[in-house]
Amino acid sequence: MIIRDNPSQVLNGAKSAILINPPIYDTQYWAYWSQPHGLLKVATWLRKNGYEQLRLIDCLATDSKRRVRQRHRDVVQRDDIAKQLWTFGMSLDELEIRLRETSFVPGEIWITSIMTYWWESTRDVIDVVKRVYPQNTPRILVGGIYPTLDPEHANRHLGERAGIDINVVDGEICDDAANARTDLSLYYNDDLYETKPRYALITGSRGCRFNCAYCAQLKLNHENPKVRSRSPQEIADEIEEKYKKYGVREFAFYEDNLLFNRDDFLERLAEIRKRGLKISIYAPEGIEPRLVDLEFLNEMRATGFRKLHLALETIDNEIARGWNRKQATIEAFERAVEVAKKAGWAVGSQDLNAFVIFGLPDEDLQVTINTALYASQKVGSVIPMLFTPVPGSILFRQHEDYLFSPRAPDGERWDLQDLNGKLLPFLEYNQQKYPWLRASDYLRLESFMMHLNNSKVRTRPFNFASAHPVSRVFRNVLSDVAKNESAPSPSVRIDLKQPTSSILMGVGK
Amino acid sequence: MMKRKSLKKQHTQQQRILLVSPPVYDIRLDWARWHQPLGLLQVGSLLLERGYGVRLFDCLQPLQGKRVQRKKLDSVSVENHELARWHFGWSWEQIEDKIEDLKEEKWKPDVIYVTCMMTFWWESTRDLVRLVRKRFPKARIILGGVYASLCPNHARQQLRGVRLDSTIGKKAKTEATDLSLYERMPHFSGVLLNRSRSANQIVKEIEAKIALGVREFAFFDDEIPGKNPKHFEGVLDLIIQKGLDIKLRALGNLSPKALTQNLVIKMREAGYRQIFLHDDRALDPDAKGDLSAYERGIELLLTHGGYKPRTEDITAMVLVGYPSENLDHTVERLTRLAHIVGSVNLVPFQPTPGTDIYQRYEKHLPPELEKQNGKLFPFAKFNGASFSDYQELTRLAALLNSKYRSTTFDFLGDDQIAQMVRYSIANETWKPKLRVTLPLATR
Ligand code: B12
Ligand code: SF4
Repeated sequence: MIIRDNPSQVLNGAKSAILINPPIYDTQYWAYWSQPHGLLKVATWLRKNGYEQLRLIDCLATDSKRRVRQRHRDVVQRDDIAKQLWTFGMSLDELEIRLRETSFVPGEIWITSIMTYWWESTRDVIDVVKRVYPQNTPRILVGGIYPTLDPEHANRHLGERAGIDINVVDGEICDDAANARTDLSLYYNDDLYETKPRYALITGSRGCRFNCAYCAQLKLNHENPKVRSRSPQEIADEIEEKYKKYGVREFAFYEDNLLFNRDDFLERLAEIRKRGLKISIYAPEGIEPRLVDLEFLNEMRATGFRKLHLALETIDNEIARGWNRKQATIEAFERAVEVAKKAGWAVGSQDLNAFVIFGLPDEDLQVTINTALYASQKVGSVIPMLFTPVPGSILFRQHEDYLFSPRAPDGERWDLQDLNGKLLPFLEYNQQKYPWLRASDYLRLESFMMHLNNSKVRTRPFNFASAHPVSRVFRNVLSDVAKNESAPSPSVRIDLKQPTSSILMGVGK
Repeated sequence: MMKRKSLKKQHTQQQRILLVSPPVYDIRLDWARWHQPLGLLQVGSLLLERGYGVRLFDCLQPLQGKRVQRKKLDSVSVENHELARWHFGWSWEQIEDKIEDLKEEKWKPDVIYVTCMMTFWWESTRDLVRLVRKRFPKARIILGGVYASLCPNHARQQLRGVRLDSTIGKKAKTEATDLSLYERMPHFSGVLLNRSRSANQIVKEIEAKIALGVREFAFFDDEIPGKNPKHFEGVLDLIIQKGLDIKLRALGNLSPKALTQNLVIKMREAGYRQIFLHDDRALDPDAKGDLSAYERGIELLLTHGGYKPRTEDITAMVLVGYPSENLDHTVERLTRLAHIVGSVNLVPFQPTPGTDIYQRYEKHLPPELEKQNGKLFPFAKFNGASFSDYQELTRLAALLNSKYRSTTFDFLGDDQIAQMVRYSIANETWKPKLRVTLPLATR
């Protein structure tokens, strides 16, 4: 069953629940800023609604270094590279033990599910639940990003193997749940967690006025483009509470478009500062360069922001426009960097970072490389972002035909787990434009961006563009070789009328 | 009279000797995991054979964990840079503790042998001598090692009351080191290849060390194979024949010119895991930088040795900062070597008193030994460059040597991504086409 915008259907009188954040299967996982904060908000909301017994089993809880265990799972061959697939977090066997040892039989099991391409582990957790409670299986609810982006898929597949009906909750249940504070006591009051969280995630606003082609924000917010913010006082209260109660000193804002409501955000910062807490604040998801100005940045710095992640993505405004990102221009980025420097962020310090996206359908690889080089010399730190087609986004819809066509050599079709950016879902598509392109080229491209960050010696990385003789000779050596090379990137346009299935069946090994 | 006295003492009580390799003051400790005071350990072997009681303080051997500890000491200024200088190795308190332990055992040294391996490290040796003299006022202190033999007058002046002894070092030249002197077994052992010892003797030494639990080895000679490649091959043959399970590393002393198909196969089989190639230019900095020996050598290592390209398996050491260096040429050589070899490390040229080149260029050096440290690039000015220029070069080397997923990026590679990178840099397509330059918004 799919439940949407109907909190009374979600609650049906239960008084106890186990909340589960499943392990994940992926080639890489960055656990540093990953708390199941949706589920932790839900916990607070459940308590308000009369739940008396709650236990959290966070399979992705981290150790003191904020890392999570990983065990080898499989090898995925993609074109000319082999990717290692890992299980991150608690094993299903351990999860089973934890469920059995829980001192109460829960009335309900609430499972959060984040990335759409992680859906399989959510299914496996449901299998475990069924195994532990074969009779009188508690009511199972699944919510989070995956169930919101593809509720039909979740409804069809999650309970299928266990043979049970589950409740797929599409969206944020209700404003009360979405605006609730996260409940960290679930970690502090449970021996399961040797390491208690030292940081907290805060969502102060949701929604965004734009609709970038690769972003699923609009679908997540049920097509509501309005930016809805929690009150600055309430956010500051939450921070203060966590600071005093749990000694939390690090906070990260996770929101769709942090700076959008300018006055609101400034007020939030002022309110936090009023509390006189010694904290650091991060926004690892990145901020929109266009909205950056000196007052903002000065205030942010004064309130505890140390790192700045700017969404650059591409230096080519035409390409940005093609991604429905008219608002994101290179001129705005340039200006943002200048302002950041004025506000005290040093180039090359790794406190100033720029995201560069690649792996998109129809991308111009030369522009990606241009962008990486530009970002490196402009801000000193490039963060490569492999594009993931997200269900519900414009690009996903445009390419659904390609993504789910039968594939060589055996005509099998992909499912959501295959649409993980790290598995290069648009490789075959882009081979139409670049016949030489191999999976290893994407690895090389990613490495190239990482290398650009790695040359830091005494506070700054190598700047290939400077007037320094070392740079000049390096450029000359490269240019000398380039002189005898034809301009790369034969820009063959893809004939979109050609049926995508023929692309796929044609390029199999 | 002294002599008679000590002889007499020998009859009544075994003479006790403390060997010390002091901590180090420097801005960086290159090869930190691969230091071993080989000469001092050889002297130790000789003394043990002669029946003395011997103890060792190797202050660069970590007391726990794998890393050499360090603590900020002071800073040195070069041009307008303030560079942090560190105390590497045991702290003075830790050394005092070790001395305390000896005293508790009632073990008092009659003689203390102190080594100093670099002329520019003399200051920490001085401080160590002060400390042991205070704690063991009656012990004779004897200084050996590179500093003592190359700068005896300096040593006599700065480290008063210390005797210099070069004879015992010479006598110990062919000794095998005795690692049982260590309280905590080092993870590796330095071994000497070319000191008139037979392949059999060398491999015996290695076997004895394996018995102590050591599995990693490196030849510490200036150059391997050196003048007699057959000898090196003989040693490798014996290691293979005996099936010794060891890891070998060439720490920057293997000349690319020396590589042959035969040798490469044997090196791999004998256990060579990691190779840092010697920069033959170090022998003759004036020589034209011909890179064909590298091309040939790498080809052999990849095809016959099974070493992985562009990983930590093979690295070229690149000499920089030697007198009358042309920095432009060095940049070009570095960039090309990064392409051919895969990984590159800079080795700052170290002026060494007593060498021809030192004598020739001494007048361009600061007089203080500690300022002649190659890492400070003392010839920068003479070369028409600055310390900052060498820092920029270090940044470039870091870029060329940066590993991601264990491999480096090949800026001169044939692949399309590298071509696009070159295209972008050559044609400046990375410069965005800005429509208008907006004034700084500072509302
Ligand atoms: C934080 C975040 C990250 C973090 C941490 C992710 C992590 N490891 O957990 C970082 C920076 C690492 C990250 C990286 C990426 N991310 Co991200 N990220 C987000 C973000 C901002 C929040 C995700 C989150 O944890 N939300 C917590 C949710 C569950 O909380 P909530 O929605 O407030 O919860 C409410 C409801 O969902 C519901 N609910 C939640 N749980 C439950 C449970 C039950 C039972 C019920 C009933 C209800 C319920 O109730 C809550 C209260 O109302 C979202 C965007 C967004 N606006 O949500 C993108 C998002 C999830 N990321 C996305 C993408 C594309 C990526 C990257 C692939 C980007 C890239 N190219 O590298 C990477 C991949 C990382 C990886 N390891 O694979 C996409 C989704 C991708 C997909 N296919 O699913 C999103 C949706 C962004 C977008 N707008 O398109 N990301
Ligand atoms: S990427 Fe950012 S700006 Fe674009 S729609 Fe998503 S949230 Fe809004």
